[in-house]
Amino acid sequence: MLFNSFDFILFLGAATVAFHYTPYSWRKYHLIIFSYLYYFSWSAGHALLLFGVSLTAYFTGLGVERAASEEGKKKSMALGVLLLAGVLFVFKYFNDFADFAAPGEGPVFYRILIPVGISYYTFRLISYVVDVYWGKITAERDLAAFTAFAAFFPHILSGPIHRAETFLPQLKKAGPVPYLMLTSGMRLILFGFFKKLVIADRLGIFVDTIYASPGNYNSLAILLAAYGFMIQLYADFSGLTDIARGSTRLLGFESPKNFDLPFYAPNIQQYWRRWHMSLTQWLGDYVFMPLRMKFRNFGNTGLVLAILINMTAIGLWHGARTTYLAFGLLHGIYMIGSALTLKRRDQFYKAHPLLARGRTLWGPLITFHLVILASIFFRAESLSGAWEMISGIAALDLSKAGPMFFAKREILILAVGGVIMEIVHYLESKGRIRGAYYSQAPWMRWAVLYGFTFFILGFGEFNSHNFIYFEF
Amino acid sequence: MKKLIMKTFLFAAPVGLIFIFPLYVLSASGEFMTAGRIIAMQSADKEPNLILQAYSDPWSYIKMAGIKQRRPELIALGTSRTMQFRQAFFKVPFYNAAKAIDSTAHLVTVLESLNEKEIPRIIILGLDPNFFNPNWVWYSSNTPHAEPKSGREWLKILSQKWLQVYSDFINRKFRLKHLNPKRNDQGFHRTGLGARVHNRGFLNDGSFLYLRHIVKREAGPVPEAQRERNRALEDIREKDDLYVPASRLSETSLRELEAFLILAKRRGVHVAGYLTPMAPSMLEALEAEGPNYEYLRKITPALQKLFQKYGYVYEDFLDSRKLGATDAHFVDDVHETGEITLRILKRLAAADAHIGTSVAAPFPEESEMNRKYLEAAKQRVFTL
Repeated sequence: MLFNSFDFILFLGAATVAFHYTPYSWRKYHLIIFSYLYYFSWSAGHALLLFGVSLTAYFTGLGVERAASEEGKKKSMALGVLLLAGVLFVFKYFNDFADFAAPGEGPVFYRILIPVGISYYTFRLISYVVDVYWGKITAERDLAAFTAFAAFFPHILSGPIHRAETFLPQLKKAGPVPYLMLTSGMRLILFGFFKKLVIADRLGIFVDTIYASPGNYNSLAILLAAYGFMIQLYADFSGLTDIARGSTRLLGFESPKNFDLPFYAPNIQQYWRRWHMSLTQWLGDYVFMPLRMKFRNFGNTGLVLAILINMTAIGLWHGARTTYLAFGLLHGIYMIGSALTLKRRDQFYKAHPLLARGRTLWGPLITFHLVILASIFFRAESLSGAWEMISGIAALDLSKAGPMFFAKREILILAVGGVIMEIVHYLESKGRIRGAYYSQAPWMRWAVLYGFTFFILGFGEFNSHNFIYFEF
Repeated sequence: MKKLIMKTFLFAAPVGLIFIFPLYVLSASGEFMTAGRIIAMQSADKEPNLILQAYSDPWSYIKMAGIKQRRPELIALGTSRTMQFRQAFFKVPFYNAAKAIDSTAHLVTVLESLNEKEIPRIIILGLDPNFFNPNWVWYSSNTPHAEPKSGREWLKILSQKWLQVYSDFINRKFRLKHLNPKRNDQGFHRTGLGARVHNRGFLNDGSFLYLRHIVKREAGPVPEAQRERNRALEDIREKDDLYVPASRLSETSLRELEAFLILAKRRGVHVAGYLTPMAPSMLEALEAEGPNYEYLRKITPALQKLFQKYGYVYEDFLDSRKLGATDAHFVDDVHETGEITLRILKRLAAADAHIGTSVAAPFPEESEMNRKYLEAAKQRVFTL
């Protein structure tokens, strides 16, 4: 049941209504039932796996807390993390390694169906175990509440990675869900559909055609496809996140943000603080910072190593493919370059205030193009495919087919849709969206909502394309 | 919660109202008819059906399912340019599976998806010249035979096409009278707005009938056909769509075709291949472009070699003038009428013993082939 399906809308509606008529103390059971119903719609076997890893994390948390010595706590934590990471490794990466070992036509029994959302729920559970070990949170004793946290259906597919320390207290809070929270959740879902159906899926038609055979197109078409993919990915993933966060609000929960105007980031470090924020924060807390502490005596070499490992982990989190490795390493190189020169650059611009003004313009521009370059590796099927794209752009050859196979109507819809998306994102980022919305008369607010609804119904792509991040 | 439910209902009610008219149009015209029902109707009905939906195209799935269900001895395989072969041309059980493929990439998939009982004995394979153009942008390797989601297809069509329905109605592309099923029961059973408005569509044997063109042609040149050719001439000038220039042949397509021939040989299927024709004026326009379309000249030597290698016959009908065709034999730039298909079949039958023993005896007369359709068309109620 994809988030952008009619089935999900019906399911969410039923879950929301049922949630509000469920006694407060039973709500955790409601969440378990609906979350597992949702997960069962994907795979009953994988639902059992989810339950198994939830139990593992639950008992590990208790074990860590109850261990008498520091050594015992550490061992319990390490065992739990190893088990959870092991499940992730086996289910997510086994196929990639099987392909690597036996490229092409591998035996059928090698293939394992990857459980949906496994990268997200294992990361959530790992952070829970580590947080208990670090003493940031106490181990959860209520098995039902913990099971609801682990399987929470709005977040199960593609995040955001909601940590126990902010989720569990919300679950235990009794009381009705405020009306404004419900309506804001519905608006967020509507906006998510807008981004997914109007922008991402429409752009996907153009991007997919060119990425499938870049050799058939001229440099301009390939360049536009490279830009197009990054915008598609942004609209797709942030749309998915909005639907997830909106659904969460309908059930009375607030979840973390995943994006904050990433394409306006003045440098690559800022970009990663604004893109897929819940994942980068997770990796920052549980990979980068521990590594940084470990390597703290090695100066810049330690920093370089920590960044490189962290960014490689971000790349490989998407899958064990050379293209993701290249994507991670490339971003690692950007980060290292940026981190090592940032101080000097700041000093330079301090000494040249006139140029400092320009920095606000070219900083985001350069960052955006570095991101575009790396995204070619992310999107391409293989390194040679990525190279074909890059060399196609660099050839500056306009003799082949251009981008105009994409109808003018589509371009117009994308342009209008893109501008609307960015205006909303800007207002959201500045914390002015609620004010801007509620300062309007009720008829105007309804007009805005109808505008979005009819934009989606009139210009949406309703082919139920998967969300890109769904496969991770 | 009650307030939210009430407000949601109030908000959704006008949205729902807007869908009522498209819902009625699409359901009354047969646009919602599922692929499964179309297959069943085509298999069971003795009456002529003319089926063409305007807002969806499930035919690549229907054609594959049609082969599996009917298990014909002989099939025609290709794109829309191979759709004029009809059961009446053959004495063996036949099914026109044209549109089951969009490119050479799908050829192997067709054979692989048929089991031993379903696989035909003979395949007439229509190959479009653009298959072998390496710069052809619509080359698609995606699998084309996915089954439309049963039960939810109507919702998808409604959500995707509701605005188009309004736009088409306002632009008078269809009228309310096209939705009246009783009036359509005369002559042909017409399902789908494509069939009801344009009087063309798929027949029960999988072939396609350009009924409006056939009727109009009786009275002289058909302006729509000329308009289509003018549009294609514009594409040639713009070097767009089917007419993207190329000097060499697509190695990928040749490899895919060879893989198909190897698999056909292995599975004991006889293949007779041919290069599909073009309206004479179109070929002349391409020839006038000089070396821009050099790949066209290279197709036949390459394919001849390939088909010979596996003991199959191949014929080149790209130049339809060799078949005695004029522009009047084409409904647009590349889609010929049944008479030309009959001439193609005659040549194939003469060159290939497998086809020769499968064609109807006596061989159908061109002058006779459209008679029954014209008679049926006379009972129509719509302006053709």
